[in-house]
Amino acid sequence: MNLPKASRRDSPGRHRLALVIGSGGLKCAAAFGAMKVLQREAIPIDMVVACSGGAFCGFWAADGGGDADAAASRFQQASQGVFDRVSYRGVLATVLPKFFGGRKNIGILDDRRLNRNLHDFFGERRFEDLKLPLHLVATDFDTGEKQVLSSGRLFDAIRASIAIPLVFPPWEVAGRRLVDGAACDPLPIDIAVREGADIIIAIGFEESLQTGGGSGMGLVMQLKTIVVNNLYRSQYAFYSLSHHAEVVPIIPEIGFSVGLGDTHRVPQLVDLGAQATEREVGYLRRLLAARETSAA
Amino acid sequence: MNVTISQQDAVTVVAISGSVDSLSADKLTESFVGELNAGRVKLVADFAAVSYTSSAGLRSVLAAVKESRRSGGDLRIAAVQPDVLRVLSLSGFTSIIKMYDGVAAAVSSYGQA
Repeated sequence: MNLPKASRRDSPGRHRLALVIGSGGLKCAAAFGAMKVLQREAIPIDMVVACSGGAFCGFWAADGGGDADAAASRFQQASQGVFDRVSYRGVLATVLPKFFGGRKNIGILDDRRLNRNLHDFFGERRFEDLKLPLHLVATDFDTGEKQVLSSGRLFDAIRASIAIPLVFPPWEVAGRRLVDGAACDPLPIDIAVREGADIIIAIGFEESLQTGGGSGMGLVMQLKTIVVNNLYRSQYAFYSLSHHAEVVPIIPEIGFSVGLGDTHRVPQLVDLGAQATEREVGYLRRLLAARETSAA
Repeated sequence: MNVTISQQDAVTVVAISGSVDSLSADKLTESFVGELNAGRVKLVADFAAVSYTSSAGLRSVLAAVKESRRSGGDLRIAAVQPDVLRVLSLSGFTSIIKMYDGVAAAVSSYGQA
């Protein structure tokens, strides 16, 4: 049952550890709590892969981390108010695209505040400025293909990765109209495998089902949530079982619904992320010690 | 991780305790392979004392499931604890493997199938 020695990626060199943070909207604040524990334990991260709401913590981790509570607070501030303002032109374009700007601007929320907050958060910083390799996942809205963004302006990549279909307009990067990475790869373990990681800490979230969504839009969002949650489970199962890499899942137990505007929940989510990570720390310590011993 | 094997009529119960992960996967695989090579293909994995699972450990279980079915038997899982069940569910195990609340139910299920 053992693999041939020559095909073991972890022998004879040192392991490569990836942190993967999936989509999940505000729930992704839990990743800051996870990072608080991983930093305390000095778990050595070699690369970061993230998607959608996970991109914020992914950026911060790849930038060297630091005070996780302060970073979560910035995430909370950057998220405040961005879901409050309806774009009436966007609504009309969504319902009657032929008459109101075609498909280009489909998205019912006004994204100006979001763009301003993101610019305040990231400025003109680029992937190339970060301490660790960072890969962010978005979806090509026209072809459905996965797009992995690993260079260029962070603002563009993150704006694209969080463009929830029908909620925010797509964002153009290198001539492609990109939307939320959750539409194709809500927990991008595959990218970490492709980049050579052999230990993968995967922080994943199921999206909260919509409540009281009697409107057409509510039903569409409910359907989107169901599809993304099933995609998340299917991809986790496939990529964690089909490859040699060791996937250590961190799945915070969030026993309440978290809507896009529930920014007051961020501190609580940070705590839940830390708690979920504490459960994995013992194994991570033993695993890393064993890999170091075998590499020596 | 420790493995204890016992026989209940035609069914082999593999009681596992501790962490089913990359550090213990080879030992678990050896246990399953030993039983399968001996022709004992109706297996029940007793997970009552399994405290943790990761992908490498689950791959070992999955390989035993495939091999036992290829040989005309099966591997069924019993008494999974809630934290472990979450990972098994996320990994799709609860869809493709028969799971039971206790060992007795898992063993008797072979008489029904």
